[in-house]
Amino acid sequence: MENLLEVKNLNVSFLMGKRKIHILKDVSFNIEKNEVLAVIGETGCGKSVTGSAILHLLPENAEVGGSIKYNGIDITNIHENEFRPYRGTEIAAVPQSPSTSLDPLMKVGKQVSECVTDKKYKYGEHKKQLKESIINIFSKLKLPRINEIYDDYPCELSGGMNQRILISMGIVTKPKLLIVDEPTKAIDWALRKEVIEVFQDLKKERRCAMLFITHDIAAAKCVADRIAVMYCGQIVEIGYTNDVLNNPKHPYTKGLIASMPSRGFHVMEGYMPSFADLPIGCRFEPRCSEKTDNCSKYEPQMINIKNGYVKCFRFKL
Amino acid sequence: MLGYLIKRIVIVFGVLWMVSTLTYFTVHVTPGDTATAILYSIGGENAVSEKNIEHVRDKLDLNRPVYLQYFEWVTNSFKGNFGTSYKYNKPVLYMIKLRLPNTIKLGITAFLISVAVSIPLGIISALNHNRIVDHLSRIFTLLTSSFPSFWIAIIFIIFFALKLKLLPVSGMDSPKSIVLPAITLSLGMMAPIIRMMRTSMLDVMGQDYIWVSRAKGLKESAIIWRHVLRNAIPPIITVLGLQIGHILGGAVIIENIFSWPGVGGLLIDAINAKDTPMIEGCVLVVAFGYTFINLVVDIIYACIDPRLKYSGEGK
Ligand SMILES: Nc1ncnc2c1ncn2[C@@H]1O[C@H](COP(=O)(O)OP(=O)(O)O)[C@@H](O)[C@H]1O
Ligand SMILES: [Mg+2]
Repeated sequence: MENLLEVKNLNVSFLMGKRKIHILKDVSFNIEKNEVLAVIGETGCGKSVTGSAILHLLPENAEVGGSIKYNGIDITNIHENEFRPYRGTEIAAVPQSPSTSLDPLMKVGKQVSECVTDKKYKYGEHKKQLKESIINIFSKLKLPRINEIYDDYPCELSGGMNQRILISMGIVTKPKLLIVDEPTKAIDWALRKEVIEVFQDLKKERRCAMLFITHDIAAAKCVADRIAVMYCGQIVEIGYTNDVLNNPKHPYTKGLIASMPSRGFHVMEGYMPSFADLPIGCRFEPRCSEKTDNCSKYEPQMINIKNGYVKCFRFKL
Repeated sequence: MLGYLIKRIVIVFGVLWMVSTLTYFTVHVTPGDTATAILYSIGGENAVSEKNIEHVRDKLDLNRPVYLQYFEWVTNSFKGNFGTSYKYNKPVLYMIKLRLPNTIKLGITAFLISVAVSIPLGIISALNHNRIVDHLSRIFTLLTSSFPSFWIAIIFIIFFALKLKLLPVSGMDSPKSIVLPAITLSLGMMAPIIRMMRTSMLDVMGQDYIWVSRAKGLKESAIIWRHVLRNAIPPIITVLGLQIGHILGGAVIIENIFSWPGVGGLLIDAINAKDTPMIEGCVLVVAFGYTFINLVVDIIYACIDPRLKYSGEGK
């Protein structure tokens, strides 16, 4: 299959005063057309930064290295004016935190429709069609009172409802690649299934590729073709969903899976190291139960496996 | 909303009553004899004599205890009679009606000038933050807020009126007369508006929903107009309300320097003459303007921000 997105040795660091904090280190992955890649990992490991880097929406103090190719075109360093047309139409985003991602002074319907009106259609009859299609999306997402909600303000809706408004914003433009950031975080357990189904449908019917950022491994399992496991700014393991979940190779992946409620809730000990003070060797070494002498001295290399790689000294083909 | 309005209007009256009471007794305890002050302000030193003082005291009932005088004034005020000016011997209301339009004219002109300058300047500073334009605007705000307005007024008079002879020194004789007092007054209120506009814009630009609007692929101009400005304006309205209050206070000084025949000049004259009913009248006008504008600001706020409807504040 053809690669829609190719990320190679992506490095991101932030200038904090005089200091430079290196967040992403040599992150590489591909997303094929119509493929869903889930990125899982604990909070603060750099998942959202990866998404922002692809969208060219990192803050001004960020420095980006490596290369990002979309549809074969290198978009790493292209100018803002050239990249803007990609946003929304080609690559869209479903942002995290529904409570802060919606403009508090604009009706939610307008916030969804402006994703489209600013580009393809102008006013007139299309406007009516657009509203219909948005209400259609709302009903698919099982939003209540779909007709009135269109003219509500974000403060009038619950967190879960706002989350689904954000999802509508991402899919209304029918993008080719959707970057979804923690879509199930603010959602009730009862609604989680519907939301996950929407993404499954999106993949099947609209043939939309996705970078599915989440720490909800169960959700990743339902939607993703492949899973990338991120730890402390690096991808430590990437592979087919079934392989990663049923036969995890990296000790961190094993730990993550063991911490799932359905697998016994065995939460890993220790904390992710601070980005300002990283271990010299493997970044997971201080928490690793399988460490060897080499682990604290050298950084493990990527070992290629079927459609992915593992970054661990312990792993042998 | 209606209940809220009534509550607020009751508060306005409460504030006016407290302000006027405080003023009444403050004037009374300031040193100097009232009758002497009145005579002095009307006829100069020669008019002050034992006989005249007795006469004035008799005529104005100044020998009664102050609380009785106060009580009478309050009762009359509630009936809409604010008394007669000691100095001018005319009803206070009449004098204020004569002067207030001039103050309003000056105030509105100054307000419009400062809004027309400060809001765009604040926006430009925010959009170019930490670049040269922003630094220049910071220097401008520093200058306007650190020089007292009477000093600026004098510099303006010396430069534009006396040296260049472009504008009249004082008075209200020609349409050009308003230029200097209005600009002076407006300069004094620009700094907070510029700073607030800049801070508010920067604050909004750092919000997640602005990131989201970029992710939607909106044009930068659409983001600024539709999302940033709309969210940055509400805090500015509060500052504008406060600054209108500042105009009323600042006008007292500016009107005196430029001999602008407004309420401010009237108030200073009244204070010099210990003309209690006149002082009360002027203070009430200023206090009413202040509280009324704050009420208007709150109502505007409740109208533009949907969140207030649900927080109970606006109910
Ligand atoms: N603008 C920024 N400046 C400095 N550090 C940042 C910035 N944005 C994110 N970071 C840091 O990058 C790390 C990864 O953040 P993020 O990608 O948001 O994590 P998550 O995986 O939870 O989405 C965090 O440690 C965070 O502190
Ligand atoms: Mg995140």
